[in-house]
Parts: sequence; structure tokens; C-alpha cells
Amino acid sequence: MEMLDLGARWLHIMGILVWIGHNFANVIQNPTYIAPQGKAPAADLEERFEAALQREHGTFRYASLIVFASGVFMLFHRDILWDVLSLNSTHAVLGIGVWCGLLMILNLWFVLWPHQKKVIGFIPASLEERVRCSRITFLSSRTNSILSFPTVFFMAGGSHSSFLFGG
Amino acid sequence: MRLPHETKGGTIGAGLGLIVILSMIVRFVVGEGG
Repeated sequence: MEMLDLGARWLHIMGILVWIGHNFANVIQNPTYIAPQGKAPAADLEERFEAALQREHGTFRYASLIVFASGVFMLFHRDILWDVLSLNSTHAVLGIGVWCGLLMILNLWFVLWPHQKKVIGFIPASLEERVRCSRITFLSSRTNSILSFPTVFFMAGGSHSSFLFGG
Repeated sequence: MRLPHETKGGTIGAGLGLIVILSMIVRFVVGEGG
């Protein structure tokens, strides 16, 4: 069981690297929002470009599910899942991190992804619609960048709760 | 209109700000008498 727990923690952190690493690469590449200009990539590049986008987006979205599953496993295995989710006593530190992390996953799958599909052309959409969606995906992605600050802080802070918050 | 998280500075500021605000909430939940 100890080995499983170590494996889950390793998977959890690796998944976070892949997922949030992608998010911060985006922060550096696109520091501010620029609306799409409606220029399609050259036809010979289009296929490779789409395949690359699909791989990229698939990879980080599914990394988030690995993070979720390994995290739930660790809490369940330690028998503190409910205490953490209900912010019971000192579990509130980790709990706030978990809730922020849950918000990030919900944001990724239910806000960012449905709009991103239109922006990158998996679902056909007019230029006007793509521009509208691109702003939503930008803000959604940036919201996750912001949420990653407290998420990592409180996740790591769970082991330092008495130093941070007494109790 | 540009929102705070449309810039790098705003993103970092909002992230750190959230740590402070949520810390106050956690302090309230955990630290009564701590």
C-alpha cells in the first residue's frame, strides 16, 4: 500500500507538471490577449498543425484527470477525504487547496474546453464566434494560472498547518 | 476593457492575493485559539 501511495504522489506531481506547465507556457507566450486575425495556416501545414494541437490539448486535459484521480486516491487511502472536503479543523489547509484544484479541473473541462474546440477548429464556427470563444478561453486559462498559486500553496501547506495557522 | 488577469502582473498579483485572502479564511477555520 505504501508503494501505491508513493506511486500516486509521483503521478499526481507529474500530472501537475504536464498540465500546469502547459498553462504557464501559455502565460509566457501570450502575456496579453490578442484576438485571432482569421488567417488560416497554409493548407499544407493545416493538417500537421491540427494534429499537433489535438495532441497538445488532449495531453494536458487528460493529465488533469490523472492529477484528480491520484489526489482522490491519496485522500481516500489516508481516510481523510471527507475531513479535507468539509474543511474539518486542520484539514482545512489542504481542503482549501483541494477545492481550488477542483475549480481548476471544472474550469478546464466545462469552461475552457467547450470554447477551445471552436477556437482551434475541431468544431466549425464563424470567425466572429471564434473570436468570442478565444477571449473566453484566454480568461479561463488565466483564471487557472491564478488559481494554481493558492492551490499549490495550500496543498503544500497541509503538512505545515501548525506553523502557518496554529491549531 | 482589460481585466487584471489579462496581464502577467495582474495574474501574479491576483494569485498572491488569493493566497492572502484564503489564508485569512483558513486562519478563521483552523486557528481559533491557535
